[in-house]
Amino acid sequence: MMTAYDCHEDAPLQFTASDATKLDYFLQKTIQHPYLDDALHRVLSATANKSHPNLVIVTGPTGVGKTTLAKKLEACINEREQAETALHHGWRPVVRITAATPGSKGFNWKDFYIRLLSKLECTDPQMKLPFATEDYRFIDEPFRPPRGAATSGSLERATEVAIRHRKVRYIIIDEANQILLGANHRDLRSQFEIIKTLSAETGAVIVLIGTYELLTIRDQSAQLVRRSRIVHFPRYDGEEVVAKKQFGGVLRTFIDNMPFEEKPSNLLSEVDYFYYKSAGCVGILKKWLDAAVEAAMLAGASTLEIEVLNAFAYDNRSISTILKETFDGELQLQEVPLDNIKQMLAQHKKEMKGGALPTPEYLDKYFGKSKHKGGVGVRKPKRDPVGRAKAAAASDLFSGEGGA
Amino acid sequence: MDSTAPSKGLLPLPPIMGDGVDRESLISYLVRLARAHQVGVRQLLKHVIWPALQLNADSMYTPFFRDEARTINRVSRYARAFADGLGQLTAVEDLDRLTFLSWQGVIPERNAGFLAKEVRWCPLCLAEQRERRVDSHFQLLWSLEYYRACRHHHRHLESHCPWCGKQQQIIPYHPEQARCTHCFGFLAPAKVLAKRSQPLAREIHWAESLESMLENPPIESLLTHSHLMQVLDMASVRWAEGTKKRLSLMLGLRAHAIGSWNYKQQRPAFPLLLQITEALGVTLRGLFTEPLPERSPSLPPGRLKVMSPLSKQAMSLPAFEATLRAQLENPASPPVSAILARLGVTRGYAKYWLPELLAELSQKHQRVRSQLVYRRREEAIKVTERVFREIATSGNYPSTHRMYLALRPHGLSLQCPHLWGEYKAWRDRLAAGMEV
Repeated sequence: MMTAYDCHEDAPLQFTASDATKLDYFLQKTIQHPYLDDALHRVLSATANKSHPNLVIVTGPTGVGKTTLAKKLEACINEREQAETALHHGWRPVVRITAATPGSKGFNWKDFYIRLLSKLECTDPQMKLPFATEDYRFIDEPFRPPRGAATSGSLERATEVAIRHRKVRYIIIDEANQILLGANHRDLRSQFEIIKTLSAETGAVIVLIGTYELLTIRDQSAQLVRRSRIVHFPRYDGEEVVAKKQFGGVLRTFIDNMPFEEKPSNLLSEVDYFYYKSAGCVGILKKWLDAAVEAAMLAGASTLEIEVLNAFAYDNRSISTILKETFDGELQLQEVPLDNIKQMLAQHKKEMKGGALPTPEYLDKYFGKSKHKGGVGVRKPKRDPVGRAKAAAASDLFSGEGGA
Repeated sequence: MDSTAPSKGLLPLPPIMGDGVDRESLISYLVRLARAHQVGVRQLLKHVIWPALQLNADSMYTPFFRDEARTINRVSRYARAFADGLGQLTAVEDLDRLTFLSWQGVIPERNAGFLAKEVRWCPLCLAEQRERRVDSHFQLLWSLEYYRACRHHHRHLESHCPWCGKQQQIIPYHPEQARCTHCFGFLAPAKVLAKRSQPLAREIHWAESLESMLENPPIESLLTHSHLMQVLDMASVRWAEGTKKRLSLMLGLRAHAIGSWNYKQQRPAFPLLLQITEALGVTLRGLFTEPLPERSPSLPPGRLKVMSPLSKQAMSLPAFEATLRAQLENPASPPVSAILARLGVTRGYAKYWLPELLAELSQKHQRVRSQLVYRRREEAIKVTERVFREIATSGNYPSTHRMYLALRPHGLSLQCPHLWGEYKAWRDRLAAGMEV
């Protein structure tokens, strides 16, 4: 029997069209597992009501299945709004876009608007005017309108108009953590504010899907926190019995759908192995199985052997990197006790009621650390001569021999 | 796919219907559509809309923008094509209500005196639109020749820019109708609003009659030639003892006007239809929906001017078409301009009625010309090669100067790129010692 290692030999491989179809089916196969279902349900609930937030942030470890969630979310929303779109053919209730990796230091908003506009209307972005006609509504006198390529601002206005006309209610941005790449601390807030403004101007809910980096929104401003909601899409935790069982169910489903005549059911006894090598993330597991199954099918194997799986497994170092990031994110999402809030409020009340002058630490906390080393109104001690030096300085001053 | 598929259509911009009477025109909708997309109007038309209309690509050229584009609001093939095409692109229905297509049963396609030659607007209406912060739009009625006064504001429509004095282009470049297409000044500044004008009573009456064409509900089923003839028959029975000739004269028409419309199944020119309604004291809509008035027709002061669009054409349309088809078989294939000049037909007339046939003739002429040019080029290359060989075999080097002198009597020159290319190839072969 040929194995994946035999692929490079001269023996002809019989990979028929039927095999190709079966392989494609498996490669495109996605399953509705419990954690995915739960995350999908929470996002749909958060966005369905009129009291929905402006931003919904779906975050989870890499490879957990966030892109699959984005696709399913789009499909669910389209199905839910089918009655409306049947009546109004030009309406588009949801648009899904992937935030592209910035080629330069900062995120390219102009490119983002162009790609978003291409989902909404068919005019070439090069045709866009560099100004909105609203800009000169109340100018009477003749003037020469500006020429040139469209600017980021004019594209933003065009996008808002297009979203309003298409009655878009949901904008799903996958890989949204790319928006934060290359941005320093000050720019992070402005990136989120741009997205929040887009949502506020158009009335659409923006669903940001990405890694745990998106949690920095909670550090930006109270206003952003108030208008957003975070949905966690976690990995399966092997320490929990139920989660481990569910992960085993996922693996069984994948095995049952493999395009082999002889299903490799013996692999089910190695659930722990699969769990550790995928960090509990279904996306990583699926990618791993895709590579192994494809190699086995191209080699003409009748089933999937453990050796083939080992050849395509992620190395342990990569898995530990993924886990480190995952643990950091999970820590950030850990809830704080209610007592912390009570303590903060009590402390604040004490400081306000006590009438005491705010301490320097208190001022630093609220106004930021002062750039002046001595503080405003506090003189540098070295500048004032004291004692004999002072007296000497005073006499020098009147003797005309030059003061200090 | 990793994201939503790109859109293949335009934004579903709803048309401004107002209360029906002050609905915008289809050209106005086109400009607002360009504004919503933040693109130039002509860019949108050329790159997105025209390819979807299934019209001849050669038809969109300067005369279209200068003159033919105004028929988009009318009852012509452009009106139908744009209404259908824009409806498909935007998924918006009933865009044909922004034209006069519902009246095509009684208004002829070739119809002088229906549409105004220039773009017109009411400055006070534009100023109100600006104050209400709505998209500026031009009403469909403003495009009619006999709609000369705004009934809301009782003043004449303007047709010249208050800043530069020029008339406006039918299809502007920039997607803003309330601004001049030349100097970009606002068309309704305060100095124009302050100006007063008093329309004539007859102009107000025309405006009222024309507005009735757009009232709701639509009466398309009644707007037919046969129904019009029935109404005129009834009128002739009531007032002219059943004689169409007498009724024609009573209505201020030529003696045999109504008879010839009936016999030839022709639709009357629009100014004559308006004149009939004036004489009967009804509106245009009322002519088809209301019973005839009791009093007999009274001649309105002064006939309405009817300009024949065919005054310079020497032959009828079917004969012209047959002649052009015969030209397709002609092996000589003269240029289109020569054919039209010989037949005494203007190019505008030919391109409006038979654009596909004209395009075929033009392409045929170009093919013949290309073949002729190719044959001449081949002959020139042969002559040049013969000259080159003669110089080379005579012991002299065929330099460019010698070639120029030798080719001059033949009327040729190495300045021609194809001859220069061949000469270089021969020269290289000669230098390599190969046979030329």
